[in-house]
Amino acid sequence: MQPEVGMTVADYVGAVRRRRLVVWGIVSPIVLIGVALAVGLPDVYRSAARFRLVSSGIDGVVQRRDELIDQYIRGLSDKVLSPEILRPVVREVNPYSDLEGQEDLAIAKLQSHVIVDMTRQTVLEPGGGRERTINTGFFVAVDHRSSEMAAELARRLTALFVEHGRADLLAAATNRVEFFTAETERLSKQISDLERQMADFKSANFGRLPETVQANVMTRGRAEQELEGVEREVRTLQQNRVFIAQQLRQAQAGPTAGNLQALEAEYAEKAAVYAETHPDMLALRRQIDLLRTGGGVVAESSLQAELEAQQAALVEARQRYSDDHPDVRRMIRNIESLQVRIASGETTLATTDTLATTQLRTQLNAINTQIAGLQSRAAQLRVRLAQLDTQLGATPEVERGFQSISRGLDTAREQFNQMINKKMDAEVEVAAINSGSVDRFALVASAGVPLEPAGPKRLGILVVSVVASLTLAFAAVVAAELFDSGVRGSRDVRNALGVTPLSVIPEIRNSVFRVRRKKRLMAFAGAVVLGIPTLFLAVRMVAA
Amino acid sequence: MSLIESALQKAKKLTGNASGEPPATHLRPAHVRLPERDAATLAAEAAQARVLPTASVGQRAMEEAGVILAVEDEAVQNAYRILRTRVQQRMQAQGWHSIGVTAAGAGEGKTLTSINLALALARDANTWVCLVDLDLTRPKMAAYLGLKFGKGLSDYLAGQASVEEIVYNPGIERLALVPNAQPLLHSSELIAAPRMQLLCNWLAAEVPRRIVVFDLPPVLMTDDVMKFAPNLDCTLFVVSEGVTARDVLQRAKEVLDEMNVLGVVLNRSTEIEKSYYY
Repeated sequence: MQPEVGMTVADYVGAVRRRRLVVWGIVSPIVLIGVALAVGLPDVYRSAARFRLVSSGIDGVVQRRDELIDQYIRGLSDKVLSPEILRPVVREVNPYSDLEGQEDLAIAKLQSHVIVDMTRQTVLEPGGGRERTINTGFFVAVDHRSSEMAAELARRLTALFVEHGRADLLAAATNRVEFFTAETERLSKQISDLERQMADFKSANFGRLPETVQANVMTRGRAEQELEGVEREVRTLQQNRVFIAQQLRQAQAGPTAGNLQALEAEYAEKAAVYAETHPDMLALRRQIDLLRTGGGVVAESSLQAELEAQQAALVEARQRYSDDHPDVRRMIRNIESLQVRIASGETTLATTDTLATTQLRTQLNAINTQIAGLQSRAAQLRVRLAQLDTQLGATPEVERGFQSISRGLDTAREQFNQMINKKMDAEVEVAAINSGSVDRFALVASAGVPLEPAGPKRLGILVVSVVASLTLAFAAVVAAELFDSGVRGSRDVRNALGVTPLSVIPEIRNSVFRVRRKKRLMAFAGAVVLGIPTLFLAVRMVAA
Repeated sequence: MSLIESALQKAKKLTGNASGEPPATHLRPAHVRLPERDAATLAAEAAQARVLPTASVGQRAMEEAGVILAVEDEAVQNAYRILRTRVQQRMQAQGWHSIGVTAAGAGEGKTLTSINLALALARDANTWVCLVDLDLTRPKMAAYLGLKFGKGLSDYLAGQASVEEIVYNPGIERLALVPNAQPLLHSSELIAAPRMQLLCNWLAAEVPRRIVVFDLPPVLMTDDVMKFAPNLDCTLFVVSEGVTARDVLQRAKEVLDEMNVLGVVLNRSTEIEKSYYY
């Protein structure tokens, strides 16, 4: 049954007065516990180190978002406060003497006494002017009953945070270095393969490469020109051969004065060019001498002797001229012609030949030899031209393949250069991290020895216990009133029966009442007298 | 309609004149002037009183029970005085001489209220009182008073004693007691028996005329009260704060509507603890 609507403050006060036992039963133990806690809890000292977040520029992110910062610090805190990291600290410092030998418990206790939290600042957004709270840093605090121990633990944790913060960066940077190194090696190998492929391609397509097109064109031009020259020279020699053959036929018909004069004129003309020991000059001299002596020369000389004479003259000519000299080359042709005749079984020169005919015949043979040589050369040139045409015809296809390999090679080289640069950047980053110049956070306030205890908030505990007890007591009173179906006061009687009581009899305070109240007081006093020290000792034991 | 109004209407019917008009005195019972009697009249009355067998009361028992003779609490004394005065005025206004004290359930203070009311009434020099323990199933009046006596109401109803043998003088002026020591079965039948009527008639014929206060059992636990109601002029209903439930009170009201209810007394109240200190 619920209390009647419209209850006044006096009704509530009356309800509290009626439920004094309930109120005291709730308030007393809670306040006692509060007093025991406020008095019994030992002092706790807090030593804290403060860090400021630093904008990172190495990785390109100028300002991290708050949630990333928060997550990063939380992750770093979880790592530093892990048992593996704290175990050496606990072993060296031994912060809890009562847990000596129980490292796991000591670690767990230390973890529960470490506070890591962000520090925030309210700033105005540049654009809209709206206030925003951002993370500017974080702090690491350690609670301990000894101020020196709190400071020592805080200093060690500070060093661990710095160390592991750098370790994270270093690990990331080292990974990048390794990655870029592997990439450069891979690209280097790829480049080597492509270069080898290029070399093989060039070897297989030598002369058809795009870079040789110009040379091939020029070579073809020169070959064409040379072929034209050779053919022109062949034609000229053929004309000369016809003329000399005619002269030979004339010379074979007999010697004349005209011939002597011609020979003398030719001798005088050639004397301006050649020396007297020149073979042509010697041959002309002999012919002139023979004509002057009045007879034909019945010379019966062997081819072998002629060959030897030509060879001797060649030796002498080579002393003066190079092998490219026309006379030397003519002598060589003569010698080759004599050797051919000797090899064919011919042994003697024509005995009826005069000097002129011999000379003419020699010239004719030389011309034949020249023509043969030139024709051979022309054939070579034609073959060479055909080769060049083939090469030039295959050049576009070869060029396509060449470009393909070239592109791959250029791309690989470009990538290689990029990887080299990135690798260098990563190596620089590693060096910077090791030097501590790119830490994500900087220590702004190191942990010192606290002079005053940070807790417990004794007054606060007392106030909270009093407020809580009163609140609970009032709630209990209200609940008791809510669930109390008994009559309370004259108003309930009026509401139920429609009549005001003739009299309101208060509770009789006789000896029984006094004895009962006395028992309650004694029980309460006993609870207080025993409870406070017991709670105090319990709090001390638990706090220890 | 409240209990008082319904009781008053019933009283109108019972005490109205021949024309059917109710007497004017009932309209404002609180303002009835009590008759004044001098010392000689009072002494003459006392001389007329029957000599009753004596029964001693125990001071310690009365103090532990909360009987006002042994309690020094001024607030309690005042409260019972107020109750006495109001009861007296209303009863005299209606010419009533018998009142039953009951409650809805057990443990609400009926017996103590009836004892203290009887004692408070007896303190008035103009009033003679007889207190009868009619709670035949759980008689407690003798225990509260620490009364040492011989035969009681149970003996009378069993036919083993006469009326004269069971009405005692406890040594308190103007007060007579009819105690009961043994609980009885079939209480409602005994209450309705002729011997009970004889007792009521005997008590009504006493000189000086006494106000008979009957300590009755709870009205919702037995039918004794309803059986005995015709022998009562009025009823006083006791409500105990914190003990009587509201829904029980509602049920009791339905029963009380059939009776003459003089009024209600709120017992064990924490409402006005200091106002009685004057």
